Formats: sequence, C-alpha cells, structure tokens
Amino acid sequence: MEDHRLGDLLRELPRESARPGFTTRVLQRLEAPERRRSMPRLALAGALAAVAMTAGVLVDARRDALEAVRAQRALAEIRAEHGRLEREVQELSQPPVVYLGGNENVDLVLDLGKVGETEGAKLAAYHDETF
Amino acid sequence: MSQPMILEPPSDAELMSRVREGDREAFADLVDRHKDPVVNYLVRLTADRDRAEDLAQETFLRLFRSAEGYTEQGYLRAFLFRIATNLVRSEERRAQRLRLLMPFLPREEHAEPAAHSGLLRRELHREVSAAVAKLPLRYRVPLVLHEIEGWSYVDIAQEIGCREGTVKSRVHRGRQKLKEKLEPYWNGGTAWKTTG
Repeated sequence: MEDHRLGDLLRELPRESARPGFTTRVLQRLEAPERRRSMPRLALAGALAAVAMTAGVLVDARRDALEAVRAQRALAEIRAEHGRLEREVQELSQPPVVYLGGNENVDLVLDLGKVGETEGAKLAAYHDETF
Repeated sequence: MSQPMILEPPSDAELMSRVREGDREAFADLVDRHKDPVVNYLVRLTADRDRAEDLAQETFLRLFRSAEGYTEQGYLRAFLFRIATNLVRSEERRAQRLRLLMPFLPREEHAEPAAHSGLLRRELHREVSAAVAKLPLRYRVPLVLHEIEGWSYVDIAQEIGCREGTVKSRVHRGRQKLKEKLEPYWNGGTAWKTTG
C-alpha cells in the first residue's frame, strides 16, 4: 500500500459529530458531580477490592493445586526412574554373558568375564584401511 | 445613518475567563464550539462511538474543573485534545490492569466483515478505524493529529512535549504499523470480495 493512499484513506474517514443533546448532558453531569462521583467511586473501590481479593484467592488456590499436581507427577517420575536404575545396576552386577546360540540340549554362551583381553584387538568394524 | 454593529463571537479566552467565574452559559458555548472536533478525535483514538462520546463529556467536565488553573495560550482545542488523550491513556491502563487481574475473560470476538458490495466503503472505514485504534498510543496520537486533524509536526511536538523529529518518526512508524495491520485486508481480505 502506498503512503499517499494510506493518508487519503485516513483523511477520508467521515468526520464524527457529537450526538444531539451533548452539551445538555455535559451540563447535567456538571450539575450533579458529587452525587455521581463519590458514591459510585466508593462502591467501585469496594467492588474492585472484593474482585481483587477473590481473584487473588482463586489464583492462589489454582496455583497451589497446579503445584501439587506437578509435584506428584515429578515424584512418580523420580520413583519410576529409580526403579529403572536399580534394575540396570542389578543387571550390571551379573556376570556378563553373551548367548551365542544352541538347541534344546546345549546352550552356547560366552562368559566375557573369563575372556582375557587380546593385545592389539580392534573393534570388528574398524580397520586401518577404512579411513 | 449609523452602520449596524456586528458582534464578534467571544474568543475562547474570553469564554474561559467567564467560565473561571462560574458562568455556565459561557461553558455551554465552549462545549458547543469544540464538541465535534473532540468527539471526532476520540472516535479516531478509540474506534468506539459510545466510548468516545462518554470520554468527550468527561473531557469537558475536566476542562470546567481545571478552569481555575488554566493559563491561556491561545489554543484551547489543543488543551482539550490533551485532556482527551490523557483520558484515553488512563482508561487503557485501567483496562490493561483489569485484563491482568482477570485472565479468564473471554477475548473480544470480531464480527465477520460484511460481504455486500454496497457496504464496502463503510466496511473499509470500519477496518481503518479499528486498525488505527489498535496502534500503540505513542504512535496513534501523533498519527491522528497529523493525518486526520491536520496538525503540523511542530504543533504536535509542542503539544505532546517532544522533538519535531520524534513526532515525524512516530508518524512514520505509525503509518508503517497501520500498513502492516491493513495489509491482509488490502490484499484481498474478505470484505473486498464482491458478490456476483
């Protein structure tokens, strides 16, 4: 959109006029300023204070409830994680045995605890010529 | 034969000095003289006819109450616009606080734009007015004063208490923001599609 078009658009907005009786209404408000202002202001202040307190209480209660739910969820997750770690620790404490195969009569297993490290052994997937 | 005497209407300064003495008629004359520009200015700031009318009434009430301390500087309308701007600012701050206080208030739904081609012009005005009213006040006031009310940059700078360059920059920025807001509408929004 061009700048001048925008300017035209703004300038061609219809001019608004005050509604009939505007001046009379202003003068009426002027005649009864205290009655119109003091009572509603007091009432409004009271109402606002009540709303603020209620809102504050509601917000606090809602926040507490959310916090409790969040804490319970975190506790459940910690317990589950603890269980998983415990199982892993137990599995690690067992002798490392690799199942190689077998049949109904024989199981071929390799006890890694009894296999000595071979000097110069390399990972199966690694060869010098690879790179 | 003596020539008929033509009475000049009293100036704003004369009327204000009578208002200071509690003259309600003089005050009514002032309201009559300035009510339309003040209402128009407030409609452009708020995009809400009823709210603008109410704020305009409050603007004149504040003028009456502050008549004692009013110093004549030759441009009462600028003073009225300043009161009106401050009222809008206060009201928007109150509304913002209320929104913070009650976060569960439903958002205002915007009515679907009318599709009938005969309403396009009015619809366009409504869209532009709404877009102007959504601008931040620091851009909205100088933009409305300059583009709609026809004030010079110098006058605006004097009125809102900043440098002329700042006013120019804010008007420019206001235009940019307004263009961004109107861009979807401008580029084939629903209201531009005519039936048939």
